[in-house]
Amino acid sequence: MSEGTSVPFGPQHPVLPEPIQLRISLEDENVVQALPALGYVHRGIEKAGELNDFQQNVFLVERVCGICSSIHALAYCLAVEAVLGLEAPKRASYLRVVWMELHRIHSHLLYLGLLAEAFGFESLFMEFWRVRERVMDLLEMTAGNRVIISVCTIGGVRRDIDAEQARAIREELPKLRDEARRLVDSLLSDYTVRQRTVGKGTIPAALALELGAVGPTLRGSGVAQDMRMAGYAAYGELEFRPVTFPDGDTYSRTAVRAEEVFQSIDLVLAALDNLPEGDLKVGFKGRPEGAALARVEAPRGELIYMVVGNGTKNLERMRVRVPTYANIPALLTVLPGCEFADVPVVTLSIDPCISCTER
Amino acid sequence: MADATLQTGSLEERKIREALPGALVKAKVHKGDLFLCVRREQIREVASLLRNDPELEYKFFSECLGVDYSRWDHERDLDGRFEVVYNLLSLKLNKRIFVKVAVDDGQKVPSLVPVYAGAEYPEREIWDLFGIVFEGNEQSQRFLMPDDWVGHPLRKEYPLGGEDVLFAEGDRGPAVEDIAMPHAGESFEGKTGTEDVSGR
Repeated sequence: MSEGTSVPFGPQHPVLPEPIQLRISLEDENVVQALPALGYVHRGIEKAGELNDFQQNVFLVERVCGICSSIHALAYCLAVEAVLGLEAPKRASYLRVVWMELHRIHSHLLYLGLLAEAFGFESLFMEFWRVRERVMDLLEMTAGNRVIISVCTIGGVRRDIDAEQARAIREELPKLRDEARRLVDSLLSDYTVRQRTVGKGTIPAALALELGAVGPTLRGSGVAQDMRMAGYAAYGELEFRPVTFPDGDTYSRTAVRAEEVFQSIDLVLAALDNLPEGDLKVGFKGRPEGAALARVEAPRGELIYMVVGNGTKNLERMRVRVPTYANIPALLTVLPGCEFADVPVVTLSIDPCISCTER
Repeated sequence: MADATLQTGSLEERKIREALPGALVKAKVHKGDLFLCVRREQIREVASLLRNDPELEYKFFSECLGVDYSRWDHERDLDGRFEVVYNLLSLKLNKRIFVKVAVDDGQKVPSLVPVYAGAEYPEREIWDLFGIVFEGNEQSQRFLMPDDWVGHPLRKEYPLGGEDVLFAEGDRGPAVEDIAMPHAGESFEGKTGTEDVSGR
């Protein structure tokens, strides 16, 4: 390694929305080693989860990550509900699907925009974010907030979607689908984009499984694993098939996310069509005692919450295993061998969420 | 498979008891999930068995986490201050199991990195936040905490809200006189309800 050059990639870098450092060793233009330095945004949320009471934690965990905030809240609520032996009412489960899928749409559109920006396609980036803004408007209309929507609570949801709001969503989403389709087609069929992504940062399926990769990173390697198949909330009653692409390269991972946008639109519409009448939440008494684990599919992959309750209002332990955390080893394994110019795009292709990773 | 010596009747438990007698301390089913409590020294053999057995194929390492039970007054499965809980997934059986080991201060857990490459980062994080050492994956640099941080913050005695900002020079913030003992002589009463800061 004495001949090589060492380049710090991050913590501040134009393509990185959040701080992470990769110390990259180069031999000519080729990466031979990538070492991570984490901890720039470690906030100790797991510790704070032991000091707040278990109902306050719903709002705490939403602040783990801005992009998938309400999915964190859902995972936490499912875990606490499992400890308490609660089951959310049917209507609440369907409403949860609606909000979670709206979150997934805006997260994936954000990723596609950032990827376009990483190539230098500024206008495509803004087009994607313009479409994304319509999802944010839907979230604001239904929940009162754009990002941290705070709809989940232990035992159900805190807000309803009435008939008029449902009609507005039904009108908006098909338009959004057409616009997104046009943009996705131009992204995925573009010659330059294919040059920059096809065959770059290839993670074979066996390696992805070995390193425990999750979510679109795993599905982009052709493994059909998606926590929504487990049927939490109302996913078991809605038609659902995971999107996979076989090649394992940056292009495949992008294509998985692009297709999932349309799948999520269909899921939202299906959930609204089948929305049952009923209560929004069940009441409960008592405090959590015992351990339970909840797994949900966040936009970046499998999100795991493990909750250990000791019978008091404070939890003994709250563990958050976020998807990016599981995907970073796979990323670091494929970076050696890449050209240095591909490092930003390959790094972005796992859609890293550092504030999730470090909690 | 009604074997009287089995505690849960599960295939995983039977395989481990046959191949590695004595490795399993306890097996239980809690809220639908299988928990296998394993002797710390044999965790690597148990993990290899679970991973490589053609009928099990627990090839997917989801995560491992540490728990500090020093303030726990309920029933425990294992003795020892900390527990490390491994969360393994079998894509073949579509099943998730938990494997637990107990560890006290000063003891080491064999690292699972030779069996599951994905274990490297979770183990580093557990070392950083709990101070549990993994044999074969020893670290000298902090993982999530700043490099000059003292102590392991997820230990129960570690106070929250009591930390000063650790700056080396006095003109940039509330400086700490002795970085090695940042809370010497300071009381945490009213902050966290404890004065015990032995974790730092």
